[in-house]
Amino acid sequence: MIVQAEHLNKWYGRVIALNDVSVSMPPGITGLLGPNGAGKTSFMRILIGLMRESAGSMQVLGERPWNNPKLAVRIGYCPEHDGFYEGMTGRQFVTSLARIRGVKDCAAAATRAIDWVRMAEAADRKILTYSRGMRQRIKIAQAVVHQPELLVLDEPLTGSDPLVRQELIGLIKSFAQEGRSVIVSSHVLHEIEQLTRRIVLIHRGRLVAEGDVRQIRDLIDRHPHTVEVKADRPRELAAALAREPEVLEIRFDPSAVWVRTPQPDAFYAKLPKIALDAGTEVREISSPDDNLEAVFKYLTET
Amino acid sequence: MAIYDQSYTPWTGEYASRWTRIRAMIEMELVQPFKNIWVLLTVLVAFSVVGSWLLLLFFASSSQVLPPFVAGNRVYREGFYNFPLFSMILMVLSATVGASLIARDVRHRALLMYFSRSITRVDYLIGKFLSLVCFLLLVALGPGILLFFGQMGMGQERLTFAQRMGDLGSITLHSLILTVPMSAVVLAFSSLTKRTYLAAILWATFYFLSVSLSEVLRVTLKADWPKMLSWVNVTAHLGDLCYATRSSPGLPMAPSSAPILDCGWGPPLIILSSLTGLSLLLVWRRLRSVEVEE
Amino acid sequence: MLRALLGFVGLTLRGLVGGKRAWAAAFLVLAPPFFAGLAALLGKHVQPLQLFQGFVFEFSLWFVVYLLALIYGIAMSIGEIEDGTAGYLYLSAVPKWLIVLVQMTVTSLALTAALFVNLLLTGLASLLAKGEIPHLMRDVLSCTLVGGAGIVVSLGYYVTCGLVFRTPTGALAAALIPTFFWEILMTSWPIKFAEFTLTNNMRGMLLPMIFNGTRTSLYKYVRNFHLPGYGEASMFLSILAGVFLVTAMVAAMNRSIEGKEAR
Repeated sequence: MIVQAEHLNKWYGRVIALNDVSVSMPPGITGLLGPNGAGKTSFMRILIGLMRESAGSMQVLGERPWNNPKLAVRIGYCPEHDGFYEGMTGRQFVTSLARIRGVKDCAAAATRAIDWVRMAEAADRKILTYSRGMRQRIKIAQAVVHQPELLVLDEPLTGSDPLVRQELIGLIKSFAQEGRSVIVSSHVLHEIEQLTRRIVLIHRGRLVAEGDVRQIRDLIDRHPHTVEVKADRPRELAAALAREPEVLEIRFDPSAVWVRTPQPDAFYAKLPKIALDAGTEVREISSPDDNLEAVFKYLTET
Repeated sequence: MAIYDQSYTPWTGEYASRWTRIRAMIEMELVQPFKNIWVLLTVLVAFSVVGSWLLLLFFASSSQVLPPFVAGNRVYREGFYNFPLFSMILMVLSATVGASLIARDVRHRALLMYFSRSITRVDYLIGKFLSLVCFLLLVALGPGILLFFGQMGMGQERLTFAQRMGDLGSITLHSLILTVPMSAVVLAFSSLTKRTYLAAILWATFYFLSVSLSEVLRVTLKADWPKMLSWVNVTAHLGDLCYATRSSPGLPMAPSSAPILDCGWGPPLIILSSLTGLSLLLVWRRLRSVEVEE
Repeated sequence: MLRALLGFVGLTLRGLVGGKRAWAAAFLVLAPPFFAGLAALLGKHVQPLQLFQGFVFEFSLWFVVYLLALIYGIAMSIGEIEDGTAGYLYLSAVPKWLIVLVQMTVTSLALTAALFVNLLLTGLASLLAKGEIPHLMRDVLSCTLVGGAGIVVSLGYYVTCGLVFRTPTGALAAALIPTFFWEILMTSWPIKFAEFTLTNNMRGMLLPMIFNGTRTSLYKYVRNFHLPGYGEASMFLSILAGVFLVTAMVAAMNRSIEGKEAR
């Protein structure tokens, strides 16, 4: 496992940021999700060794991150908030940080990192003149300049326009394709879905769910699945489906039938025969809530 | 696509008065310093100085031999306002509280949030200035009034009502002389940078530069005019001039202390007024440039 | 590791000369010589030696030392955290205590060099008056060494304040209050505690070095307390420097960078 947290707790005075969180993250891309104030940033800061846990333990790449410079150079971190040295150009910023991480040929490493994030043209301009997306890319460049094994990105997509977001998603995927791991937090759920199906969901400091999105969805019994079936004769299909014990609720309009069922697999198995017996032609079957947004909503709503 | 919902109507209410908005800003800023334990402790030290004097007054009033320092109004100016410890307290408080007033808003880009509402730059400036003046007045005038009541209750002078009110007026005027120019200068430094600590250091530099420069030049040039370069001397001298000199029957005449500066109201008042005006002008110019920078 | 350490040296040096704090430091360094020059040119019967010693005593080895150390001590600690750059520093190949040690060493050397410039320019500006300053270079170097010791001690204290206190206001208050009450106010008071101020220890060291052991009018404020001798003062300063250096390093090892969510 890349990350192993056991009974992790963190509090600031009377505010509990993390409450008995035990989670393991395997290699690859893992999405860290949660509403604002859930504890994601606190978790990340403990993970990279910027903060010490109040109780419990955290192991990253097999080592404890707190006061561990040898581990620190194996991790790359892109913080959520901007923090730059005044008056530096992008290239100077990345080169300086490469140097303090002990990279051998800093200038070449910085150029490689800057080229990788496609900032070569603007690298010699002052960071103060950069747009939001450019600053985000330079931050990612400093995070990867020392070729880390694990990349930790705190809300890398926030504030960027759609084009930049797609570019950043591409960069993150290509990083992971080189055999390295990424932990990324974001609110932009459909974009996390583009990156990975493996998520860790934190809410109010507690671990709510971890694993594959679809598997988590299946486990959410209290929220039956919604299935949309587009057919040529929806009224007849609805009448046939209403008799089935797996169907909790049904409605239809001139083009489709919506069914709510707690047992989607059993429902899918029966649907072809039901449609055949009803004499209807099924054009499309989809599940509008078989996605991350629905999982997020179901698990975080009170 | 047509808009079907016509239920929206623009708000036709009245805005609160300008003074209400400024007062809201002052109330908001006055609460902040008291959340900091260090500021509370420093304010406590200021009141402790007065507490010690009240204790001394109590013992002095009980004794048969009356020490001269409790006679007259010297206890206010030499015992409290011009006491070096109190000057330092006021300087430290203005540095820790005042330095962040504008610097914090610049750092967190809150100025646009203020100016996008019905708060003009003038309102903002007045609000910040008055909030710092009010806070420093609390530390300067509050203990002064306690001392006034202590002197009224335990002092040996037989004073008329007019003389008592005169003393109260002197204390108030002295407090204003100490706090108003200081607030303006600190605000000016606060507007120059987004880093609170740098603004505090700039103010401390200005304060100590004036004090040290005055002393060094006085000694090396063997002249008295450099005394007017010292912030402490100028405010102390003007403060002294606020008090009436009087003799009290039945009490030993308190030896009059030598004037701090060899001049009247004029030059020190011009110096302080100019500094106040220039500082507020600097803040105004910085606020006007917010639009350009943002 | 060596490469990383050199990287920190470079970053620290860059931080010293960048931004508004560099302007504030430049003002602190250049203001005394400027005013000394003005006094030398415009004053009557000004003696250069008296002018130079007065500025050194009342300016350079008093509040210039503290304010320079304060600017950079706070910037190095809480300033980095506020700016959001502390995270980058602590995620490096160098342990935190070594980062603090390197930063403090580089900053102390740089500020001592700035103090040397300040003292030299003050001496040269004083010479604009008619007269001479015998042993100017000796005095400048002696004062630089003494002032350098003061810088190390005060820098260590301010960095510790910045690393121990979570909020900038708390750190600033913890830094300013002892400086102003202890070092500025207490130094001139006729009470026993005055011998334990950094300022009086520095002035005690200066006495044999530049005043040939003679207490001039500048020392008239020394009443009711013992002015430390050279040996006592250097030991006192060394102990203080060591204590503050160690506390700064320990504070760095235990400092969590909690970010805005913790405020």
